[in-house]
Amino acid sequence: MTEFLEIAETLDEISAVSSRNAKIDLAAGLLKKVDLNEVRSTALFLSGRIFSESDGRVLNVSWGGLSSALKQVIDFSMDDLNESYQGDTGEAIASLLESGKFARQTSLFSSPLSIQSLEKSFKDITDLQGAGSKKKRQAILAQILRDAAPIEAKYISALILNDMRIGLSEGLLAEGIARAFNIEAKLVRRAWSLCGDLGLVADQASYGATSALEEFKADIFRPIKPMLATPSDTIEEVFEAGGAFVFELKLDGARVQIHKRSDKVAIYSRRLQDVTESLPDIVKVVQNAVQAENAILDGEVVAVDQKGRPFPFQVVMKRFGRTRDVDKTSSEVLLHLYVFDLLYHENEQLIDSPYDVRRKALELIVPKANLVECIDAKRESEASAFFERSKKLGHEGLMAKRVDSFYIPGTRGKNWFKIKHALDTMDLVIIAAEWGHGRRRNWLSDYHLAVRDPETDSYAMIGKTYKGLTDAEFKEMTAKLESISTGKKGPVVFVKPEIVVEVLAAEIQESSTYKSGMALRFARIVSVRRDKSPSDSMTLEELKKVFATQFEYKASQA
Amino acid sequence: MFHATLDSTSTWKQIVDALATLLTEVHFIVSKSGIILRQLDSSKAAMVDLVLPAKIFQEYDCDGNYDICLGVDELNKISKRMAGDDRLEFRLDEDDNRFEIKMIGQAQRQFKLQLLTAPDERTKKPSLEFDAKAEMFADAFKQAVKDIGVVSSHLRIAASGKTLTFTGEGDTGEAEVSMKAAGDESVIFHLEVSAKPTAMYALNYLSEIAKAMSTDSLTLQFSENKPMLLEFPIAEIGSISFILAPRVERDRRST
Repeated sequence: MTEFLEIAETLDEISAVSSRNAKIDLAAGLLKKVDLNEVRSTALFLSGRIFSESDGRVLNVSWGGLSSALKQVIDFSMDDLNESYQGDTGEAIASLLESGKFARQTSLFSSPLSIQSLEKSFKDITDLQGAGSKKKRQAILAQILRDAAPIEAKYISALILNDMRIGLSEGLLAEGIARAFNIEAKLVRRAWSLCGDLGLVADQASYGATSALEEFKADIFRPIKPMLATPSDTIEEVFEAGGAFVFELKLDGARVQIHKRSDKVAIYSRRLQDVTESLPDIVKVVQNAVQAENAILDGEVVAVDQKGRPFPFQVVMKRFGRTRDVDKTSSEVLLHLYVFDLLYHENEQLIDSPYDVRRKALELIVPKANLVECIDAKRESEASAFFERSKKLGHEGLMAKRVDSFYIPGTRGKNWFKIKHALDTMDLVIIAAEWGHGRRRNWLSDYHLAVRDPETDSYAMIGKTYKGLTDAEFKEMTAKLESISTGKKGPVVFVKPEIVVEVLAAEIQESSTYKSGMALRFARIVSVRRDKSPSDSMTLEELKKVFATQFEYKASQA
Repeated sequence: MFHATLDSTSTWKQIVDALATLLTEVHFIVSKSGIILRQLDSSKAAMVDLVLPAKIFQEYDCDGNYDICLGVDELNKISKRMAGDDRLEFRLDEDDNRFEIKMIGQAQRQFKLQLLTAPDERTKKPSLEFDAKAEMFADAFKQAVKDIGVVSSHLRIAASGKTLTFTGEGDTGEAEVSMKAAGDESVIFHLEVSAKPTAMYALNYLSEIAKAMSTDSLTLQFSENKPMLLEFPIAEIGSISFILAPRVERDRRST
């Protein structure tokens, strides 16, 4: 039986090393060390989860719930908590527990936490129902926090609050599983993509038989991780990669995976959430239009106006995950389904068939109106013309898909590329920054970006980004920002508006997140403009103008 | 086979009320000599220890050892249906996995409760020694708990010579209740103290226990920064005890 302390210590070591290889090694070492019946939970804990993605269970403990459980253990005040908070809740809890300052509840019987005892406590919490369950949940959490060493409390809090930041992505963990049990990483990733449960995959892999992993299959009503595309700046770049490609319109909608068995339809989001209930109109479309008894389809749901012109992405999201007023919003926001791939048809697994075979099979069962338009472009000029046309149609750009490639779930490889219409870059001012996590924890690496508002002579925040700088630039930027700091609040360090950065964003949205009323989607710093002063930066008015031109070809709700 | 009768519904209600303060499931262990229950609450900071010797019951037949595990909510709802002068009859239906409670009064009413799965392990009793032991009126203790609860969420008890002192402090102020074990008027009948122990306990448990108990007297025992034991008599020869782990000022756990 393995104590949780070992897991916590390994998580800490993983967080402290920066090389991917070292992280993978530590994860693999731990997976090898624990007992066979602990592998599943160990893998889940390493991935920062208590239950797997495909598991319907959730713990449902908020920060409020956790902190009142902590109050049963030690007498701290909110001031004490604020004082120990440096941007990481788990760390704050650990330091409160470690401090000798507070009276502490003891127990009649305490025993070290083990993987199994935690598994049981978490299961007990999810099993609770009815009267008194809140009180009992608090009692179980209090028992865990009381028996935990500070380092254990730190990572248990991270697990409970779903806030693990050790820089071990699930992709790296998959490699760790492969390394631990001497299995090809490709096979581990494939099995993971098909079942959405790294715990289960690790468990199967721990028996050392590759055949167990090979047996993972696409199955109806079990969502598969969608295949992803690598961004490419130009059409030219795609052709340089070599090989034959089909180009599809890249729609600005929400990715959906549709599972159908006779009249029963389930729709899953990109993150494998079941969103069927929010999309009754799409369910009907599938029932009527898809000519197959059993199928798994990959596609995109787009919001359209009466003329069929697409709305921006934001509008689609109004429909996703909504369980209240579904009927009302479905009549307000019309959705259209476009599919582009077929992963399973009748009793045939298609993910291991080439793209062109899948597309042909798809065209036989889905009417043209619901198919994403594509061209088999032999020459760059054809593709470029199609790219221009996609802009006029109000779409995001193009997807390029290698004709002979398999559907490799969950991966971003060299078989699918996306080429997007870009906005011009914008010169924005950094008005505040936050300390990073994991390997960025010593840097101010998350920047608050703002436009200038000449009327009030102030700066209006429109977004945040931590993307685009090199390690050396982060270091330099941190020093610079600290020198112009004007104060802090929690993890946020406010600075004088002096630094101008050139930023690229995928889209400008209207948003209530910021007072400016505008927000950037997928912002990334292209360069630091030392040559520019804040007075050269973009104004709020200019930003609004760019926002409006986005609708030259798109539908607008205004 | 287990079968027993009890003439007093108030005794039974008192037991169920007391168990409900800490537990959501109750696990009775029934044997020839009587019924016992020993369980920790979910936080493992408190324990309840119930002893009901066979002689408490008017009739008592048991030919082996049985685990009877029931939901407190269900048990509570049934107790609420009992009339004051009902005679109670308990029976274990092993074939159907049911616990039967019969109320015999003007009408004969019968409830059957599905048994829950008993936990694998039985709870051991922690070994305890006490520096202070007070026998006192239950009501005096109840009032003290309420008084301290006005300002604090913890109660500190100190015993010294012939005095028992309850104190509490919070953000808004302090409270103190002291009792002397002297004279016929005293709320404490008997106080034994060695050394001068003080200890602190969370009030959330104490308030619920105090609310649930309806006996005249209780025995309170504690030691410096060690668990406290509160014992209430049940039908003279039985008892129900609560053991509470203290809150200690510094982190005393060995590392």
